[in-house]
Amino acid sequence: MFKNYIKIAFRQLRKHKLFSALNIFGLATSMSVCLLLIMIIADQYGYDDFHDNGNRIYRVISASSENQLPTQASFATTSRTVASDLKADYPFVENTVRLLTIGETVHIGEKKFEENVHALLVDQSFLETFSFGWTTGDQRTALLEPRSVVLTEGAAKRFFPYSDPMGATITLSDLGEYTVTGILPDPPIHSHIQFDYLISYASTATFTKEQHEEAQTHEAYNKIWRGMAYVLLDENNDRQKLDAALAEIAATYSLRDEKVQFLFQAQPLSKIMPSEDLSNEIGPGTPTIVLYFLMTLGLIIIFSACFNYTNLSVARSLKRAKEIGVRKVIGARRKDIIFQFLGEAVLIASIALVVALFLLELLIPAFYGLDPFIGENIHLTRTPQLYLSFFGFSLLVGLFAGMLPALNISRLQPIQAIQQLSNLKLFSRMGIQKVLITFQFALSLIFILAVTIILQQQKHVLNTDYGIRIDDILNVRMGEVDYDLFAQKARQVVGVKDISASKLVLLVGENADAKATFKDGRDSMDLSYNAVSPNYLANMDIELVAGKNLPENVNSKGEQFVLLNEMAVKRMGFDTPEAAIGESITLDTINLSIIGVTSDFHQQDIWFSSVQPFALRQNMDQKRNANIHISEANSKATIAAIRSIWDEISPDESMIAFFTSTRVNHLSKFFRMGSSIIGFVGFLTILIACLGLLGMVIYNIEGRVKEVGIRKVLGASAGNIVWQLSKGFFLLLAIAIVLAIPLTVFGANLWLQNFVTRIAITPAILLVGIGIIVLLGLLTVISQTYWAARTNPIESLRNE
Amino acid sequence: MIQLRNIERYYRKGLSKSWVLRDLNLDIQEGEFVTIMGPSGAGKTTLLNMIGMLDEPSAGEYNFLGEAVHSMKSKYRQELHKNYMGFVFQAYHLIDELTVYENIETPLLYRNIKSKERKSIVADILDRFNIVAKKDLFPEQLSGGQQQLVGVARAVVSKPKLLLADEPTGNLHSKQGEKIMELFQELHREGVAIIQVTHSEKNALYGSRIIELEDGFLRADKQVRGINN
Repeated sequence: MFKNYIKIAFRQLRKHKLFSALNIFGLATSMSVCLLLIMIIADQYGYDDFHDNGNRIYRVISASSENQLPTQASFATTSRTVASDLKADYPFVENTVRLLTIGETVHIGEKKFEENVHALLVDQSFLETFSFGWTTGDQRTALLEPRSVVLTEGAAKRFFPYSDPMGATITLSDLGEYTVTGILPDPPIHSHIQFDYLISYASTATFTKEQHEEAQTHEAYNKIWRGMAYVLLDENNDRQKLDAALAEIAATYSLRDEKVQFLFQAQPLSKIMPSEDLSNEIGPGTPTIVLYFLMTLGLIIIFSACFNYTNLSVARSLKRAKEIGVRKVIGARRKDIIFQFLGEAVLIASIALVVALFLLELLIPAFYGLDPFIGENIHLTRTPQLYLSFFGFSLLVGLFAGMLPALNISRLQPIQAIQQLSNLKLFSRMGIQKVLITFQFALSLIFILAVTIILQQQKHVLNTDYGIRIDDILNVRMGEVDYDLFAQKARQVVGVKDISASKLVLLVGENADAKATFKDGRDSMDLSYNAVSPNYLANMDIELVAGKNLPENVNSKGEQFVLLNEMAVKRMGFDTPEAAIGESITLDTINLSIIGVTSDFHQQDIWFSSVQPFALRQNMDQKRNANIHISEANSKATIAAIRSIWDEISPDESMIAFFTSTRVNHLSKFFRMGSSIIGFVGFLTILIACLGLLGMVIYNIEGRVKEVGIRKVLGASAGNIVWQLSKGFFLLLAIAIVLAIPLTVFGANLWLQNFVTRIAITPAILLVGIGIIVLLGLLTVISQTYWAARTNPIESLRNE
Repeated sequence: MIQLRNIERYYRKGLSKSWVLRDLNLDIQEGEFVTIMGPSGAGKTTLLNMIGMLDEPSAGEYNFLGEAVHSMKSKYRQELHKNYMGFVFQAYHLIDELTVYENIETPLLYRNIKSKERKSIVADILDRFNIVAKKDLFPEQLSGGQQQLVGVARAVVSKPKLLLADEPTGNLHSKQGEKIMELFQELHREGVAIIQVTHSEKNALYGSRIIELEDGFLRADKQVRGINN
């Protein structure tokens, strides 16, 4: 029986080449995208599954607030005392692991390693709780003693290419010397915990303040932003007990700290990746929402392709009605017919899968090429299980696509099929097809408009006037280097226009604020500020609207003056900027005199934040950044020259520098990526919709050849005929447009709400989208109807 | 084998009924060879389809082998149809995508007959109908007569008790037609009951009984002693 179905299916395929080609091509393209998605999902959900005790491991995540405590934890980090308290007071906790990330330069003899030297400070229990494996040394004691370090095999090879690392010494730039006590394998790619070497947590006791600030705060119960705590439960693995214990600990901490409330929650190891949107995450971060977004897109295109199959099958079902009738007369049950049709659909889907596998190999490099970010976070791997899931997927697709035609055509009464073929009404005048085609075109239009709107919005945001210079500003982190010495030397470099000093670099997410109290004393607010050198205004192209700039020399009285932006002055209640000059304002406890008022400028990112009241304070000892304005020409040589000055002053630390504009445009990279993905999916949707329309028009015309012949004999012109054959499809296009426009406008407005500055959805944008879709639809329909209208009526009528 | 009592068949057209069969009473015994005749639109095909359980009466009783078909669930009716009946059509209705062999084999597939047994049954039939040489051809490669031969072979391959034929020779030359009728006679002799619809007086004479329909009424019912009987 099965063999028979397959045989028939193959013969059908061969006999109806157009039908098969349209279906296989449509299914294969959309399938390839879905296969890629399956790979991405398999990658993202395949994290951390190699730990033997994985199902008993939890991470403590946390939140704290001075007011209303949230119900969901927002930090992946927690206070590390939670770990010690859990272990001390709750017997069902088998083990806990404290973990701190540190970034240090590694020195081995003369050699310096700065790249890919991610370190973790961990308890000895890290080696027992997790299953990262072990290579050399004593796994039971390697991280017990202070000043012990365990290297990964990769790090061991890099640090000690020619000698035995065991017992050797490595020196960290801030944290001193460590003895190698063990070597373990590199962590698997699919581990959210990544490291190059591990330092014993016990070492923290030996840190001085000069060595590391953690020495002071690492045992503070109320610091939840830095370290991680993992818990291994005993064999009973009673999650509820852990939840209760964490609630108890949180309550104790909340009582101890009068101002702040704490929340601690357990997060199973398997739920860490793909990440819920937690701050201070240590793993790679592809948020779940992005995955859901991609999954939705994948579903949309695979549904669209399935609809095509359904459509074309329905269009063809009239032709197959006779066969089905005969089969029923000679003994086929409805079940048999359903199996046969599903079998055909599955066969087509399987062939499409083979084509899709080839397309996938083209798609993967293109996907990685979208952005380097993707390669860092997504590691697509090909496993037998993956291919099995591909096959399962194609089976599902086949079943889904074939279901409707199978159910419908199997319902056919044999007597109708055999005797009254001409007035057979399958699918009530092709209603389903119309609905599906309309749906596909509505979807296509939505995609076209979505891409247009995203790109317009991006352009709009990027064209926003920042009110502050962002181009050609190279920010150098000063670290231990003296700003004045560095600036004095750097000014000599050809190509450096000016250098100013600032506490913060604006527009890249840095922020500082102070409690500002105005003259009245009852009116106060949190006021964001930056501390800058007087030439900051000129260097950053900020206009002075009233008053004077900050004085050049800070005298012995300390901080005296402040600049405010116009918005801050307005917020304080002054009618004009001039009125504020000479008035006083208190920042935290320091009483300052307003010396000048500047124009408004953006401080945070321009995408989601608006201009806020802002203060520019005198730079006392906070010259943390040098803002170097360099000329665009020869910028590479200029940067190299600056770098050599740095190396001269500070040979041990390398220079950390970045352009403001690069950071600012970082977000727009995501927009470009988003719009290219949506654009690609949109392209596929349109392609599939056009394929579907093409198939439907062809079958429709086939069924009307005789009518066209008669009309021509009666004197209809080619134009008449084209119109006659096409008008039904134009109506569908029109309905699609009417459906898509309000949906798009609604969705787009919802999305645009997220932005501070946003475009309006103009009729022009909509018209362009409509124009594209109408043009494509017209071309598809008319290409076929015109051909039909040109044929000689004798040809079509003779066959009757 | 077949008892029809007060059978009526009509279609509703708006408020009025359009009658096809009226007050029909008919008994057919096992092994009979019955010909249904009458002018176009008399209801011949409708009667045939009804007996073949492809159509249902609007009113009246239909008993087949002692079972009340009119009050039967459609699933059970289909089983009855499948187990006892074979159909031959005027337009042959072979499945275009299948070879001669596969066309004949298909009814056996739907009856879940094992592969080995299937092969021998189909081989027997091919042999008997003298179409072994044609077994790998597709219907479009055959003449009308050959196609109808395959049609008959397919109808009898599952050894039905009743063979229903709707103008089986309508599309054939007289020579080809004769061959089909002789085949029917042979099957009749082997004990298969046959009911055929035809316009041809000559074909009717191959049978043992002629029923005449006119405007849905049974006008005549006579025994014949036809050719070769």
